[in-house]
Amino acid sequence: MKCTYSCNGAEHAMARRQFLAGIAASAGLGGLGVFTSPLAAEQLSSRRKRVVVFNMHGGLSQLESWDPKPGTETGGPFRSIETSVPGIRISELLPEVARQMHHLCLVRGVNTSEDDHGKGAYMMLTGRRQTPAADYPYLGAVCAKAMAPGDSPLPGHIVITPGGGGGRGADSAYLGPRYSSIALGNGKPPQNTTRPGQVTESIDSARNDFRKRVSDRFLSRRRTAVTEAYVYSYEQAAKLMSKRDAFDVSREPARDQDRYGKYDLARHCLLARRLLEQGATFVQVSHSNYDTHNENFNFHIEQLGEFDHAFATFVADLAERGMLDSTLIVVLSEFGRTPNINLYYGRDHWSRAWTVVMAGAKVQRGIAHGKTNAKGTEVVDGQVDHANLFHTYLQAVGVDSTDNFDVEGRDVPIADPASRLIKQVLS
Amino acid sequence: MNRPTPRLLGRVLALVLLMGAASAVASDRGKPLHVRIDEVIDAARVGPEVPLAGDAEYLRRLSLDLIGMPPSIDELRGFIADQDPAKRARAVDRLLNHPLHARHLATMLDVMLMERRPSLHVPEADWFQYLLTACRENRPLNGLFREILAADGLDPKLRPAARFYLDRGAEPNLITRDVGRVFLGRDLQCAHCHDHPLIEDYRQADYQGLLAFFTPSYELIRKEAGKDVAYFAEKAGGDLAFDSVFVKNDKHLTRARLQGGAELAEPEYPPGQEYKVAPAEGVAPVPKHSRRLQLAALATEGGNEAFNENLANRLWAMMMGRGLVHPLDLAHPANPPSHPELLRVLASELVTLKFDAKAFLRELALSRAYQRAIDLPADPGDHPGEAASSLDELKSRTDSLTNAAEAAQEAYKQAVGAWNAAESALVPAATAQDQAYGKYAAAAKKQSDAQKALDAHLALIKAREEVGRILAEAAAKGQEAAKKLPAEKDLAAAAEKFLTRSKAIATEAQSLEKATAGKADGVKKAAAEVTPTVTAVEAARALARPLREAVVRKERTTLAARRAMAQARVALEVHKRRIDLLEAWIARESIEAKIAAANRSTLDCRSKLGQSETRSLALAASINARRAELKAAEQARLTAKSASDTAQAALDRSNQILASVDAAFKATDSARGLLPGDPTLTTAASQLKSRADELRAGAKTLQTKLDAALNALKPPTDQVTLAARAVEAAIAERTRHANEVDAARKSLAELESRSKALATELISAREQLATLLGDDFQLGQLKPLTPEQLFWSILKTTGVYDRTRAAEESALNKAKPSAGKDPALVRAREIEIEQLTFDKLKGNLASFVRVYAAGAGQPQGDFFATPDQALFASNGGLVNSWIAPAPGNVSDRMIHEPDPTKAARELYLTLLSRPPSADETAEVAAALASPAIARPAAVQEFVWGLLTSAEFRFNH
Repeated sequence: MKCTYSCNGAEHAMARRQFLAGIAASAGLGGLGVFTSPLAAEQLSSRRKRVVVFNMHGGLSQLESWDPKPGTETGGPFRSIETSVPGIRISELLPEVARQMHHLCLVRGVNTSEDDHGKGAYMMLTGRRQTPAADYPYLGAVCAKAMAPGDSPLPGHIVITPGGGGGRGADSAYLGPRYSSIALGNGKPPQNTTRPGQVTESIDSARNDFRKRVSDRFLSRRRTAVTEAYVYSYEQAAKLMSKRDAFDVSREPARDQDRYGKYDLARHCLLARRLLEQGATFVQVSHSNYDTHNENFNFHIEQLGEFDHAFATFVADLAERGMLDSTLIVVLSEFGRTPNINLYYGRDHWSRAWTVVMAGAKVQRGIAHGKTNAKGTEVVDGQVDHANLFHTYLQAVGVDSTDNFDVEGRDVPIADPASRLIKQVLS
Repeated sequence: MNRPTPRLLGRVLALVLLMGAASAVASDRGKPLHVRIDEVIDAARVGPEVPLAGDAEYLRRLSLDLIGMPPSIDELRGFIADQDPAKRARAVDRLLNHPLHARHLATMLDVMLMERRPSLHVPEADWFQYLLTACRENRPLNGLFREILAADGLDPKLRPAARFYLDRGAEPNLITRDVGRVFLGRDLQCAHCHDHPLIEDYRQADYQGLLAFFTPSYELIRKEAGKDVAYFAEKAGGDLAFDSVFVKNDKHLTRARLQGGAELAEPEYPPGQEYKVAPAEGVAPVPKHSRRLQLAALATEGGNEAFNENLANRLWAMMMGRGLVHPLDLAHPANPPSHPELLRVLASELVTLKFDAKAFLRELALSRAYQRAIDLPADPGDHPGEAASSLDELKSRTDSLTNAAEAAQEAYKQAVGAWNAAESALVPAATAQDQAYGKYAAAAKKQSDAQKALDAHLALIKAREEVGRILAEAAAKGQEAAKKLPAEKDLAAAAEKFLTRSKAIATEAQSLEKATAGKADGVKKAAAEVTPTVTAVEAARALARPLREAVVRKERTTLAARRAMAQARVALEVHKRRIDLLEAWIARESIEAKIAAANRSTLDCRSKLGQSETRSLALAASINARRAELKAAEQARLTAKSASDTAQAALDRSNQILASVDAAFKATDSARGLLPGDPTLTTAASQLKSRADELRAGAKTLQTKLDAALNALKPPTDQVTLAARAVEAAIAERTRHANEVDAARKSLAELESRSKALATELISAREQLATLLGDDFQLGQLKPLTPEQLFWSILKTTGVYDRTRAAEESALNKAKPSAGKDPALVRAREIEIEQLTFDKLKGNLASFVRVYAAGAGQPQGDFFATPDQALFASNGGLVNSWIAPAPGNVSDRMIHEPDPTKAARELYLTLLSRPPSADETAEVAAALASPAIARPAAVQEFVWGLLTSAEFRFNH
């Protein structure tokens, strides 16, 4: 007789498979290909929340993207175009994104009053102003701590960097290195996830068995939280190794690879999708570099050309796969760019009136919150800052940002307690 | 072994009663510190004494703690074989004098002071060399810290000392936070903008008072040889105003204040006379009163309790794996030291020892507290009742201690109120003083501007005059030449030109000269304007002075109240911890008692179940017997039945015959009636009649027989009924019993699962107890290796360190033959070889720090384990290359050791600094004997497995 209890439902079976995949990881069975179909992704989508951040490194021009002012002295040469949401217009440099506008929420009244790259980036990613005597964890570390399941085989905080190596970032402050980012340099898997040549699988399993036996004998004398953490780190490492294919974007269907495109940002977006489907909690994708003091317009044609297609494809995929309800998407920069166009056809740093884009999770679809004046020089409605946004990101995925973390017995506010979320953008 | 009898509870109580008062222990001055340490800890002990660690474990522990790496196999073998009872003390002395000890201590100081911050202005290498030299010379730590706290970077010899300030960007708040944490054991950061929200004892005034030492300091950048060089320069300080972001209109003023003391008195110099070297462009000013120098002196001279206790606590933590106050930067009355008395003893002894780190560490290493094993002692498992009653006794004091703490807190709050009121009275006067000073500063600036203008003017005149003079000279020489060469017209013209120009410039100078008097007047006037502002400042100061003094008096009262509050609170908290510890002890005892009871019940239940099972068998047999009886009865009944059936059949047949005879007779009789007298018929009739009669008689007999047979059937039938009933009864009995057995089985299963739950509970109770005993230093701690300890331990045990050292030594011997046997020279050479070895190997240390250390500027003491570390050790090139066989290393020795037992011994002694157990030896021997695995591969599996085991990762 077929049991019809909900525990045998497809979703539950999926959960069990995922769980077993985790358990079996060290036994070499792996858990790959589990969430690659849209159906599986949809099953996954109804539960755990995830966050993906697109960091438009250098400072994306809001005027060439989300908040165009065509026909004004500050507007530049580009027109604005209709989007899938009547009444919301964005720059003609984002034609594909315009067709996804019904999924997006433009927060057009951002004023962060910080025009320094480092400080601005710090504020946008930590939700706090940088102070000399205090250091705050980045959004990814906060999400990893608040949202990632403890037994997740994938790192809770993943940053796909445009280039460079891998390794652990210094971005978790008092939350500790457990929540620091693991960098995927140009999309490469984390460091040290392949066995060196001379260590065969059987050697590796034999030496790990021996390690466990030796540890167990020792721990029968004395076992503490730190010894447990140490032993567990090897289990996690084994799980991560067994999940290494999760980082291999070439395993995505050829059709999808073609659809996204072969350039770096496209690969990184597809990798982000893959990682989210494999159960990653936080993924950050960087697109570099928007710091266009010279030739702002030519640069934006080029950069946004890459971004438009890859990002629009990503959003459409998540929506189609039913993942948007559980995935928060954020597009941010350290700041925007000056309405004033300088002598070199460039725009400089501008933090007083710019735009951040959110989508998914509890974020309202197809709205523009906040408003700048005709020339884009001031926020005239719905002004928010980095701290409001930080609260909002977390609340959008169900994390009570007014709560505290317990850090080694000390209560530490999750987000700036002096600030609050932007209610209007959440549903 | 001792038992947790009332005696030990008495000790607990005694300790509680002694809190805050000078105890017998503290008065035992003449005794060595290590004895006094153990006296205090033993006095507070709960439960039996934990045995000391064995020799092997002790030597590994000591080596890791003093030189940062485990012993070599030869050192270990020698130590184990040594029969000298003083061998542990000798090992302590040997390791403290090892060249690596200085490096280990310098590393610990570096990490503590800089928390792995990157270099901004002072090269890390210079800084480390500075610390290393101090450690090699065993300089008093207070002197070293005084230099660091006083450093401005100007003295080239002491420039590295300025790294603490300069590489924190000279940021006063960051410096305040870290001076508080690192030097005073208090993380006051959350008291920056308001009183600490969670820690009552961390007041905004403490933070601001400490900050006031640094607000006059600033980063001075000078261009030197084309490079920007930073200095930590200082101006004269004034009042630092602050207010709480939580309280409106609550203005406070402070000058420098060192933890535990009142605002420091400062000399007041007349305005304009505050400096030995006045501030100027590119000049580092030298104030007559330097707050930073005052801090450096006051903190480190031995009289500041916070400084002394912090340093003692940090050295203690370095050895013991945990501070008496823990976390190390969270000293406050609600988080008191585990043994307040002991911290006082350690701090005062550190002062007595003149901050000699080696001498101090030596005492710690000799204490039994340091030598404790990590294993929780077996529970004696009795007297839980007595312990509980002692606990009650202890708890009965909670209320009075709580009341005392609350009363002291109330008194403190009132004192704070009075102090704040005095402060409020001062605020307007201080503001007036600031304003007066502002006016003075403006006037002084005007004066200095006027003076500058005058100076510039005079300089201009001088310059013009000089030009005029040169031109006049040139003109004279030109005229002379023109006279000698009259044909050269150009010469005369040029001379003429020089002359005209020189005259013009002379006129210009004269007219400039006219303005001089005016400018000089301006200077005089400006100077005259300064004088009244100076008077005004002094008047304002005079007005403020008594108010300041009143504030200081009130602050002194407040401080006394604060100390009283702290003492009462510490007494309460220590009392609570004792209760926790005793409760944990009792909890374990009671769980063990429950386990014993459950075990007894289980046994009982098992034996009952056993009996029942025997009875089940008997019942089954009885059923079978009853069934056999039934069967026999049935058989008997069947036999009787068959007899009765036979009788019935005989009777029936006889009756049938009779019936046919009767019928024949009747027919014959009728025929005789028709043929009367027929003789044949008559004969026949008579024969038939007699036959019938005969038959009738026979039937009667048969009937009798049948009756008898039927009678005989009855008893066996009854017997069958009875036997069937007996069977039924037996079956019912068995069913009833089976139910009983099931119930017994169920209760056994319940008991077993309860035992299992209790066993889990016991594990967590044991862990809890072990934690509390460890925190109380009655039990050895598991100490995670620092990134450096891990790195050097791996290099040491894989033979890389010793191989490199040997190579460096032989290269040195070639390049620079040994200079002789003079101990100083020998030691210098040892240090040189150590340095060369370090330099050769340090390249890979950075990789370990990157993977195993917390982020730059974050606290470095919290252990963490991440998968990327495990991946680094599993798949990274470094570890895998070091475990490969190389001449003389453990992998190599094992490969070439024919005796697997010896190979196993080499392995464990080298990697874990202990011999293997029999099982461990067998495990290694079995694998080495297996033909399936190549020996080098097997050996490396073992080495890697031990290197990555928890036993290696922790010092124990």
